Amino acid sequence: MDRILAIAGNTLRETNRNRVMYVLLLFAVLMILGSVTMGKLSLRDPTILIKDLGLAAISLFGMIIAVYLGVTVVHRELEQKTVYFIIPKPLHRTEFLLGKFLGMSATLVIQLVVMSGVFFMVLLAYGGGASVILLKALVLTLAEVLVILSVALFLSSLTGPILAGFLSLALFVLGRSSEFMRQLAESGKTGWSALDTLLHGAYYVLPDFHLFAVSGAVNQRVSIHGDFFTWAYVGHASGYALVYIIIMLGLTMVRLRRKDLV
Amino acid sequence: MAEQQTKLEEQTGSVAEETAEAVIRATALCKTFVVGFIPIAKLAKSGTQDQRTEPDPKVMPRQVEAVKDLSFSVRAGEIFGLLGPNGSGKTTTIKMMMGLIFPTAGRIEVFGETVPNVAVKRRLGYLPENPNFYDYLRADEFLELSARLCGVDKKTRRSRIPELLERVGLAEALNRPLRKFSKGMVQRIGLAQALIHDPDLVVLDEPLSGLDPLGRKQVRDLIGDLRDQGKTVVFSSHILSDVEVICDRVGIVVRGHLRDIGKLDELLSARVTETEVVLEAATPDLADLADLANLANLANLADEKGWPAQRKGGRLRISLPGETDPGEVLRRALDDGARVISVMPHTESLEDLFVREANK
Repeated sequence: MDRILAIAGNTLRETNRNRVMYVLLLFAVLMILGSVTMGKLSLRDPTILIKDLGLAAISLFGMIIAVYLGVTVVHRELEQKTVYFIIPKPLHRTEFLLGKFLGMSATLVIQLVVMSGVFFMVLLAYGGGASVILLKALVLTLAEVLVILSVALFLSSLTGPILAGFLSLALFVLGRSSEFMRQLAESGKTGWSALDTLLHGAYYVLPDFHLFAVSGAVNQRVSIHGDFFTWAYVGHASGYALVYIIIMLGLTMVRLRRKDLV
Repeated sequence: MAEQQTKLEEQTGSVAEETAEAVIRATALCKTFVVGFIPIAKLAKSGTQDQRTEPDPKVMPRQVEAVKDLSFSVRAGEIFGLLGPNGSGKTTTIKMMMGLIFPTAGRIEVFGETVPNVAVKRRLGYLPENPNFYDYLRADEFLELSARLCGVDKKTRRSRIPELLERVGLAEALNRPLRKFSKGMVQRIGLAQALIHDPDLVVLDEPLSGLDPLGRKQVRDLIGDLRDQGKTVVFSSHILSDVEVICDRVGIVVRGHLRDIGKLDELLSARVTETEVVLEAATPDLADLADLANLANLANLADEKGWPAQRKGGRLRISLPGETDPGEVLRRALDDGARVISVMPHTESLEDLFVREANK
């Protein structure tokens, strides 16, 4: 365990010294601050828009950071040959992968905490308040970005970082549309049974990011404006995230286990 | 070629007999890299241990055979040098030892276990070729990380890190980030991380590259210290003068094949490049005309045979090429009453051997 923690700590240190992270964080903060202007233009209670846009900003930039970390961090170890230092040490490749994932997850937690801090401050300044429902929303966002991280990590074990990055973003968009795919397949509106089967299959195989989509209109499955957004739901979604992450890390491990580190 | 192969088999065979204490044992090791996007089906089938396949000429353009049928063993407590020109397969072999890449065929065992194996890695220290470490870490942070990964306890870490930095000449760079290190300093910190857990086997890939003469001497001394402590050291190098000084045995790898293996004196003494015979007339000032004639006759003999000869005053220096028997010249000289001043066989240097094997 100490070896995994050592790798995680080193990964955290590495990502914290990466300027790209700070640039992304800056954009996220700007977008959260920008939500104030949008809120003022709104005809309704401005805090509703601040909450929606703020959470969307945290989710969006959390996703971008997760994809960036997932496709670059392990790839950089290979490219810069630091992997020649670490793999011959007395550890399994699984420990290396878990350490890297843990370190990147810790980075994401820190980023989300910073973004959430700014978000809550803005909300407080405009008469809104920190509520349990917002905390639930942030827990779901964290679960979502960790799933994206694991997906990006797996894709980076199959291909180069740029392609893996684009594929991860594509999967995110598809995953957010998973509910739509399911509804379309079940409605039979397509007229093709093969397409319905395909959509059904995609719904089950692709990550269901719709589970975590907490901001947006009130007709969404999960809305911070609704009262059905319970801890049980958060637990269910987090459980789903955990299973998906384990599957992704398992597949990445299969790829990495016998990979020649040339 | 067949003769050479038989000889190699004898050499590796004799080593294999002593493998009761073998630390590393490579058997018929092969590594083929697939070049290109789509792997070829035929090649994919050959990826089992102990199973060898002949390369199919049709698939040759899409594959690179980095190591071919390499067998050797390294005994406990010895310093073994892996020599070869660039691209000969030394680093590939070392990477297979470290579990960084996997053999296409054959087997490599370290401490009797097939690698990669965590228990084996605990007894193993490794310095990669042209190492690149986490340059955002300070020297002490980097060694702390290395020690933690190797399972060194906190108390030992506290004493071992400064001690090792001192040993590799980096005591004053304790708090400096690695990005500010010169190439030689990176090489030294690489040595320190390889030794952090006091391993029984140390594998160093080009440990002398990038070092100035003083640094090279320090590393040579350090390797000597490791031998004195009973450690086994395997290293690859291009700096042959250092290899000659340090190594107990060497293996020469050329184009993926092991061309020669053995103790340096065995490998080199068997190869006499030339024998220099120096003769002197009975009267060195050539006062006797008969002596002059005799010396001229000996010079003519060398000329007839095509042996380079040089006459200076009453002395004649003849260079007999290769392993030519000097008996004929000596008999003739003695019959003619000349004095034999010296018969000096010149043996091959490691550089001669290296160049010859590389050019084969």
